[in-house]
Amino acid sequence: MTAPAPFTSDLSVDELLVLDAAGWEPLEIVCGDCTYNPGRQASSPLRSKELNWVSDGLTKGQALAVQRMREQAAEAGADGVVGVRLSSTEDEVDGWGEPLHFTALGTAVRRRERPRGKRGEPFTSHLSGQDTWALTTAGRQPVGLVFGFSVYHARYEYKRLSDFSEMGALTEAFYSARELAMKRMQQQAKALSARGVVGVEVDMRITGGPTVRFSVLGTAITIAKDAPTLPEPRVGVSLNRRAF
Amino acid sequence: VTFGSTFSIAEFAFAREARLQPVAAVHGCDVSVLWHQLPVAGPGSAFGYRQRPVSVAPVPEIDAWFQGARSKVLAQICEQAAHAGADAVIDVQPLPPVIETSFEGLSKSLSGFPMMRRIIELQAVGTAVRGVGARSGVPRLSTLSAGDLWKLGRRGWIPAGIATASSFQFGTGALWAGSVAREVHGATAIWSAARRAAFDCLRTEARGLGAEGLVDVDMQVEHHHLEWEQSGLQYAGMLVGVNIVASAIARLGDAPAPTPVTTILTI
Repeated sequence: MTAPAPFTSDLSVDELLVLDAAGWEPLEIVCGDCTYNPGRQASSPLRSKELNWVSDGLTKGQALAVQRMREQAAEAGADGVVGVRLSSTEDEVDGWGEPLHFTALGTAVRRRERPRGKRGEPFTSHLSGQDTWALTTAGRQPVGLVFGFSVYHARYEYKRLSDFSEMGALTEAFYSARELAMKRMQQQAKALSARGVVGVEVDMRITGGPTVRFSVLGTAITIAKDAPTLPEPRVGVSLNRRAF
Repeated sequence: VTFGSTFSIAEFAFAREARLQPVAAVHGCDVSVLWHQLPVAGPGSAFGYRQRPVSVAPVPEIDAWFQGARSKVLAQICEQAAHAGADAVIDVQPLPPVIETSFEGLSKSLSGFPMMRRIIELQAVGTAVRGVGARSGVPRLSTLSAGDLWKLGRRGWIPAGIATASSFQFGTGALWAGSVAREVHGATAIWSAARRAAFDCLRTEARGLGAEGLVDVDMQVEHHHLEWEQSGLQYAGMLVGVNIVASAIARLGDAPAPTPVTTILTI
């Protein structure tokens, strides 16, 4: 009989041990790739508007990478993917059609006591092993990774050097982009019948144009009816440079 | 006897708890240069590279070169540890590599396919220890800290070595999508091929070390876009490289029952 293939994981030692204690075993690193050209979209210096084709392109590219990662996990017989990291190669997105490469990478895990056989669609989560432990111990279940993008062009605003004042159009662009990105993330969570979204990470940047790019990422969760509470935490003082 | 180590105070305390005795700080270094002509599959196009289907090919020479450089560094560390009477080197930390990359042959005035020129300096430091137990007299290696090894040891895991993998894939053809919003399948294929080959290589390495799993994975990814012309034909290509270093672990007998997890509010 041949020995089982060694597992590969993107986990730290702490994550491995805490997931082990919670009855999860790692299977393999899973990774989805997608190079996507969001296309070109013109903008006017006179009017602020969302570059909706570009926002849509970013969402599609990232969704394809996540979908491919999930397919690999399903093929490996996983119940879920934890510690998912999303990344893209190019930071400059201003509507001029440069392809971006999207990556979704995480560790496929399986519940030990669950009987082998047909499993449902594996969940995806960007939460760490420790967070996954805390969440599941408290009766919450991750159901899927959710994200939203918005690329918003701000109209040209003339300011003299002596004008120490707010760049109103740019501020409005940030507000609008944030609202749209958050709304899209919540819509994804709703589609998964989730109760809420946790661990939300926000990234916002400004590129030439000026154009604002706002992205949000979170993990949608459900809550069990009789959800237990976490044990009372003890107070500890860390003496380490590293978190042991 | 005076010992050397790369440990912090806390790690030193954990090393004593884990019954690991530090012996010496060890260091490995390798500087090497590579010249390699990239494999161009299929002809170019007189009508522009955008019309060409994408061909992807591995570049095993670059993979072997990277693996060779890493092996030399780790071998030096092993040799120093063995000389000091240690049976393991832990907390092996690669220092940030110094890499210089350039591509020749991209100008119209030069004939020939692109040539990659690369100089790399790899370094790693670690602490040689006694107490882990050597196999065949060769010190075991691990990137894990004393604290991590102590925690793994309590669950029946021992270090099994350092697994490394490299995969470079070069693709030529329709890699740009113009103004149309769509997936660039050719580029996706190159990225996927590089990643898949690296993971396969990593798993093979882990199996060779007798490991049951890999943790503490460090993955570095690089990509380069190239365009050139030869004999009136246009070419475009992309090189994607994946380098991975991970710690292999193995079970020592049956796993003890897991320690209940305590939630701590750290100050």
